[in-house]
This record gives sequence, C-alpha cells and structure tokens, in this order.
Amino acid sequence: MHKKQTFWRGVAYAFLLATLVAMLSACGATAPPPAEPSANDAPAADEAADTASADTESADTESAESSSDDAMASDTSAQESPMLAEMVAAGELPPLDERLPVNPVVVEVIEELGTYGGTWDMAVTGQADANGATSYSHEPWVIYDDTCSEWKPNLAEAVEISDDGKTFTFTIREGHKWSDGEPFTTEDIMFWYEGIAMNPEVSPSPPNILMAGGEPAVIEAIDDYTFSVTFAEPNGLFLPDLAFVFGDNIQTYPAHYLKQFHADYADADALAALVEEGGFEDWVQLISAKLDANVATNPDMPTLRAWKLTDIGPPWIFERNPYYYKVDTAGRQLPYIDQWRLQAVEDGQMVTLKAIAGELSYQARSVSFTDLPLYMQNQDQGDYRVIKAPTEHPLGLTIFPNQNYAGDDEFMKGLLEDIRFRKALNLAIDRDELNELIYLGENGDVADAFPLLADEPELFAHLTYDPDAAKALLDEIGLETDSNGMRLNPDGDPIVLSLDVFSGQSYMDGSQLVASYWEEIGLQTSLEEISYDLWWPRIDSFEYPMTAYVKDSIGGLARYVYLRSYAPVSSSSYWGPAWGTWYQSGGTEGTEPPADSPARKAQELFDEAKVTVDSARQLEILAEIERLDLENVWEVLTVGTGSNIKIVKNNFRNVPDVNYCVLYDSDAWAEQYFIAQ
Amino acid sequence: MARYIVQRLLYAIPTLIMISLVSFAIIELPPGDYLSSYIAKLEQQGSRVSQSELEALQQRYGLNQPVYVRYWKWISNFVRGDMGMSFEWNRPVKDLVMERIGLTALISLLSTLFIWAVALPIGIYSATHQYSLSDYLFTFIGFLGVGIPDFLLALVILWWAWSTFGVNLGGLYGPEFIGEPWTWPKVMEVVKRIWVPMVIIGTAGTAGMIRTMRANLLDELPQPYVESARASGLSETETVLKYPVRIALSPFVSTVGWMLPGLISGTTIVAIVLSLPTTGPLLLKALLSQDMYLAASFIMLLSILTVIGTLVSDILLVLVDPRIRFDDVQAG
Repeated sequence: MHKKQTFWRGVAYAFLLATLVAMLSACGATAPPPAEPSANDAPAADEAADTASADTESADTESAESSSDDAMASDTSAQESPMLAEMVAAGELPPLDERLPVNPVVVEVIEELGTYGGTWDMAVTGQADANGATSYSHEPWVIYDDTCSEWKPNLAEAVEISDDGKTFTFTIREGHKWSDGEPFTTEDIMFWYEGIAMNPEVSPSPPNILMAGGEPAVIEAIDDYTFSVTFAEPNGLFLPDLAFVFGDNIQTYPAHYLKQFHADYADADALAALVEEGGFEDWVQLISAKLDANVATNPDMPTLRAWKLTDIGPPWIFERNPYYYKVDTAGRQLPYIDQWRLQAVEDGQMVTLKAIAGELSYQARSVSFTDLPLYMQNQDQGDYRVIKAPTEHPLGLTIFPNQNYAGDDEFMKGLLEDIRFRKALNLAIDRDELNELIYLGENGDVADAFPLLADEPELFAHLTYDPDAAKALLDEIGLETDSNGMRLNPDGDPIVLSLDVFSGQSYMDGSQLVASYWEEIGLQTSLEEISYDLWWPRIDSFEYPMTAYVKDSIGGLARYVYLRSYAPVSSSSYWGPAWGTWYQSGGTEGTEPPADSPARKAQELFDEAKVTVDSARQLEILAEIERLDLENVWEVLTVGTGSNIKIVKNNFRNVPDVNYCVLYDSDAWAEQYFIAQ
Repeated sequence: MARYIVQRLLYAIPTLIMISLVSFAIIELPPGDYLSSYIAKLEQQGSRVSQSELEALQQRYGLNQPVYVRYWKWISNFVRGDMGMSFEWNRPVKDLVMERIGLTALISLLSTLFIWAVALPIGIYSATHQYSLSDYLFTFIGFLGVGIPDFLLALVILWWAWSTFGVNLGGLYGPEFIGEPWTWPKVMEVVKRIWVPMVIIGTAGTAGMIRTMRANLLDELPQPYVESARASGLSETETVLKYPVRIALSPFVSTVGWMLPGLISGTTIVAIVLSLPTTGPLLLKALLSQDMYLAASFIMLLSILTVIGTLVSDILLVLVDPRIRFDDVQAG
C-alpha cells in the first residue's frame, strides 16, 4: 500500500516537473550552460561538483521529461541517467548531490560528452572469462598516466608519502558511498585489515601487497576518511602494486555487508545458520565464497565500481551503480551506459561470428588478431569499426632456455647454460619474415620495448638475422656436423632440442617457423604443445629444457610489478624458475643462484628498487636489470609488441585507440563509453 | 520379472561404487589441480596470483587434503543428493546441471525423433526395394551422413547461413531475445533455430539407423513366416509392417536406453560449435579446468543414467520381442 502511494506520488511529481519544463522552455528560458571542460585538478573538480549539485533540480526535471519523450533522449544536458532520475522522482533513491561524494572525480571524455542509457553487449566463454572481464570496471586507489611513470589519485582523494617512504596516508572522499548507499569509510579498510588480511584463518599468510622487509604493514584509521599504511622498510613499489589491475583488493570489502559472515563480528547462532544454509563446512569457507570481489559470482556484494552485478549468468548482467563517484567535465554522473551484459558463448570462435554479425557493442576479449582480415571484411555489414590499439605488452613469441633445467641430459644442460649457444639461437631467426607470416606484419621491434636502453644498440646486436654468425658460434662451441650439416651430440647423434609450447595457434605456428630457422643452422627441434592446465605443473617441475610463450613488457615503473621475465624473481620466471622460486619463497624452496652471478645481481637490484622511493632512481635500477637481461641473452626474442584488436559498433563512442599502460587487460575509462542514439 | 529387476538394481550398486572410484581417480590423474589451471588461465590474461592467495584458495577448496579424504567427502555428500560446489562457478553443481538439462534433453529428444522419423521409413523402403535406384541413392546419402563429421557440418551450415542470409544461427535465439521473458515470439525464434542442431546431430545417427534397419529387415523378409502371412491374404504393407518390421526393431529398442545418458551428455562438439548452452560443453570445461566436483558429479550422473538406461532397454526388449523370456535366463 505504502509503496503504491510513493509510486503515484512520484508519477505526479514527474508530471508536474515535466509541465514546468515545458512552460519554461516555451518562455524561452535556456538550461544552464555545462561547466567548462576542465583539467583534472582539484579546484576544477570542486567547481564541477558544485555545478553538479546546483543543477540537480533542473536535471531531474529534464530527465523526467526525456524519459517520456524520446526526442529529448539524445541531449547531453541531463545530469544523471533517466533511469535513476525516475527512481529519484519516485522517492526510491536520494537526489544526485546526496549520492555523489563532496569531491567527485572528474573524468575527461575521450571524444565528446555522452548520452545516458543503453546496453553494452559483450560475449564471454564462461564463468572464468566473465570473472576476467570484470577488470573493465576496476577502481584502483591511484592510477598512472599513459607513460606509466606518474600517478594521480583515483579512488583516493589524496595519497601522501612520508619522506622515509615507509608511511602512506590515504584520504577517502568524503561522502563516497557503496552501491547500496552505505558510506565508504576507514571502517571498511580496518575490517579488511583486521578481519581478512591479518586473520590467520581467512588468510594463511598476509597478502603480498602488505609485505615489505619480511613484515606485514600496520594500518591505522586516523579518522573516518583518513588511514595510514606503515611498512617496516621503505616501500617504493607499493603504489605501482596498488595501481596494477589485480592489486585492488584493499577497497573491495564492504564491512557492513561482510561482517554478518565473520565469526569475530557476527552473532554466533546467526552465523552458524548461514553456514548450514549455504552448505559450507565453516565460516571461513562461507566468507571466502562471498568475498570474490572482482569476480562475477555474488550479486549481493556492494561495490564501488561503475556497474554492479545483478544477475549471475549466463548472461551476467551488471546495472549502473547509482552512487558511482565519477562525473564528466560537465558534472554529469558517470557511467553513461546503464547496463553491461555479458552473453555466454561456448567457444571463442562464436565470439568471432557474433562480432562480425554486429551483435556485440564492444569486444576485445577472445578477439584474435589472426582473424583480422575477417573483421575488416565485414565492417560495413556488421556496422562496426575495428580499432587496432597498440599495446605495450606482451612481446611476440619468446623462447626461454631453462637455466635451471632439472632433466638428466647433462649435455643439453651445458648447451643451455652456454651464452654462445643462446646467441646462436637468436641469430638464426629471420624476424621480418616471422613478423609477416605469424603476426601479419603488425608487430614492432623488440628494441622498442626497452625505451630506457634506446641509446645502447649494441645490447640488441644478437637480435639480427645472421645464420652464418650463428653457425660460427656453434663451431666455436665445438659442435660437430654430419654430412647433412646437422649438429651432433657427443654420442654422434643429431642434437634434438625439445621445446614446450604454450597452447595457442600463434605460439604453435611461430614455434614451427623458429624450428625451421634452427634447422638451417643444423639444430633439430621437437615441439610439444602444452594445454594450459598442464602448463603450470610442467613449469613448476623445472624439467623442461626450453619453453615458448611470451615475454612481459608492461612499461615504465609498472614493469616492476611484472618483473618475472627480466629477473628471476618468481616461480614463473621461465628462464630461471628455480632461482625465481628461491627468491619468491624467501629462500625456503628452489635453488639460490651463485653469488655474483648476473641472476643474483638482478635479484639484488630488485631488492634495492623495492626500498627506493625516488622514482627516477627506480628507473635507473630498472635499466640495469634490463641490461643484465639482454647482455646475458636469457631469452630467444623474436618480435616486439602488437596491437589489441577491438571490435566496436559504430554508435559505441569514446573508446580510446591506445591501450593504457598498467591496464593491459582492461580498458581505462569504460565509465565514459556511451551509445549514441 | 520383478525379481529380475531387483536383482539388476542390486548389481548396479557395486558397479556404481567402482565407477565412482575410477572416475575420481581419472580426474586426479593429470598433474596439477584446479589451482594450477586457474593460475595458467590468469597468466594468459596477463595477471598473477600471489603465494598468500594460493594458500588461501588451497585451504578454501580443500586441495591440500589427501585424495581419499576428498573422495570420501564428495561421495558421502553425493549419496545424500549434494553434488558439491563448482570451484570455477562458485555455485552448487546441482544448479549448474539443472540449468542446462532441459535444453539438452529437448535437443536429444528431437534429434532422436528426427532419426527415427527419417531412418525407419527409408530403411524399410530400402529393404523392400533392394538394389533399386532409390535404394542406392539412399545408401549413398546415408554414407555421406556417416562420413561427414557433425561438427564440420555445423560449421559449414553456420558459415553458409551467415554468408548467404547474414544470419548468425549460433545460440538458441538472436541477441534481441537475451534476458527477455519466454513470450510467443521468443518460442517461435527457438523453433526456427532448433532444427539446426536437430538435423546436424541427427544426420550421423540417421545413416547408421538406415543401414541397421535395412540389414535387419533383409534378414527377416525371406523368412517362411512372412511367406505364410502373405499367403493368408494380408496386403503387402500390412505383412511387412506387422511382422518382420517388429522383429527388425529390436536393435532400436535396445538402444532406447542409451538416450538417457545422452540426455545429459549432449553432443559436446556440435554444442560448442553452435554455442548451445547444453551440458556437454559444461562437462568439457570442467574437465579442462580440473573443476573436480563438477566433473566427478557429472560423470557419476552419466554412469547412473547409463546403468538405468540399460535396464530400461532390457525391459522394453522383453515387451517388444516375444522370443525373450526371463525364465530361460534364470534356468540357464
């Protein structure tokens, strides 16, 4: 009964307001001009916020109008989505100025101010892919610029770093709210810190993001909007880590929702009932299942992102977050698009067919560059455009000779450890031809991925095509040849290199081509494609002599967050997995690289970079690590980075034609995409 | 008869226990577990997992427990009707399977009916008109059907529809119907599209069925009882349909039970190509990502249906074929 009354009152208001607007426009009154497009600095943000609140009244009227009149739908004067304006009019939602933080983030649009509404259709191949796709609306505390070296606040209003680099003070935006309208405060941060991160039951060990100098950081709430993170040692990589796509876990824990699942906060009986009802073994399992924050499985979880999961799929549906904290330069609340929908297909090929049939608004996942001719050919029929966004990550096919090869072939081990052999493997490769045949000639040079070493061309000397020099190197090692020119091992049999290839057509095709180049210098290769589920156990056993995958090349300081293919610092440092495991585990597993070896040197440099706060010095250290990598020819490199193919409907606007640095897998600024009417 | 059924049901228990052990063991066999495939998938997407996250996940999924503990946990819950949680989907296995079983059953049923509707008359016609031109023609088409892999046919039809009419036949309905309630236009849309999987899946089966029907009927037609039926003045159609066809039908009946497991296994490859949300692709993905409980419960469900299906077939055979008697079985 009550609800009904509210509804009718809402309708009455909407009607009244619509009439008012009609009368006003009849009298020739004009709407207030939109705020000046402004730079992304604080005063401008204030101004925009003021405009936003001042305009709320008229925004409501216009939105109410536009919802009843389609002709008005394409204007850009509405301050919020008609969908929300209706709810405000109906009294189901507070007005816009109460939903936005005092100081919202102002986003500069890429092409033009957008119109509200519409559905963004994407296709995913299942739950795992849907989980991955959620990175499209990722909200890190700080965000880096497109050179990946300077950061600015994003979720945080401000971040202050103490002079010793140990304490980071974050300010949350006053009035910032979760998608259910509850305030986002330091209580949420402390709940995460005390209840999740430092709770040994939920997290067997504290998350890496909190670790520095072997000790977890201490987080303190100073007031409702300010908290500090204090490390035992200076932490020069904390902000890049936080900005990285998957370093965003601190802010995805709404205390008001999650406390009911936590034994330290919830009523014991109520919690036991929830555990029983969900069929879990204990509360830890229950809360872990509810926590999957950047994952598309829990529609009850409040979020800070632009869209909020409402239906678990397929199809997965995300509705706009009415409390989203960003506005465009005219002070209009983002996102522009009302609904984001992930359709399910059973296979990546169907994504291709759907894309060329024009059924998807914007698709970059599961879009393969090998289908590029097909995409180009159907552009008109499908009413879409193809954006080739240059990426900075990863490099093309890369072959990693394993320096920690744990197999029993001593001769092979000796070869892999011989830098002359690794150089010969590099010199044998015709990179131009490989680029043409495998990457449609679209990829760049390897050297382009090393801007810090641009004036040291001698480091890239082994990346030229010179089979004679390669043969000379093999002669120098002392490898005999048989009558066909094939190189022989000490038993007098032809040498056969065995190469594990990561599952994927381009990896396999590229590796076959590389094998043919190696055959020309007298080395046979046997290829084995490794399905992705068997990949990890294989790497972890250290028993592969060589493996083919790609080398990471995220640029700027962000390269530190993914340093594994430059220095052996992770168990997925494919050319030195045992050394990497040793480093990553703090010396408990794997093997220690010999003292003074280049590998150890690279690890020590990384140690130094971690405690360095000065970013210019960090880049110097990075250049040294990269130099070590190239000097020691740890990898067989082929071509540089290519493009990310995006299939975008012609009316889907504001899509950037570059890929921003840290956000390799996602698109920054998805909130300002819009669908033209 | 009742005694026979009870006996068969009792035999089924040790069989199913064996199957549960073997299927769980097979799922455990490949190196690595769900987490290793999870990590590799994240690697592919360019992200990473920290050691602490890994430990938390291991603990959450119980992957650090020994195999027999996990087996016992799974099977004891399974018996109580709880098929466990899927790691990947973070949802109960039961919900996932139920969501897809309706469509899977519909497609299986339709394609079986299609096979029968096409194969039976053609088989009978071919047998009664042996070595005629039309017999050769049907035989030729039949062999084509057997020879062409169904997923290839699916790909060709998809491409042909797209390049000729600009229609994407993948999925059950066009994009405009996603998330819409089941209204009449949506049902019609499904009806318009469902013939594609029906015919594709049916084609291979049809050819085999035609050949079986033809061969069986050819065996029966020269029999003396057919001759006496004719002699007693029955029309040719009546003669053929009433006696030899009935006997030639035995192989059909004995395969009816196989439809049951087919109801949930679906035809995986065709479903993947046509992007149909049936259970087949779900099982395949579960196996690939080593989503243990989903895969194991699925295989268990298939096995149970196979066992029941075989029993149903045996019972039906008795009803259809008067020559089979249980007394003889038990006496012997």
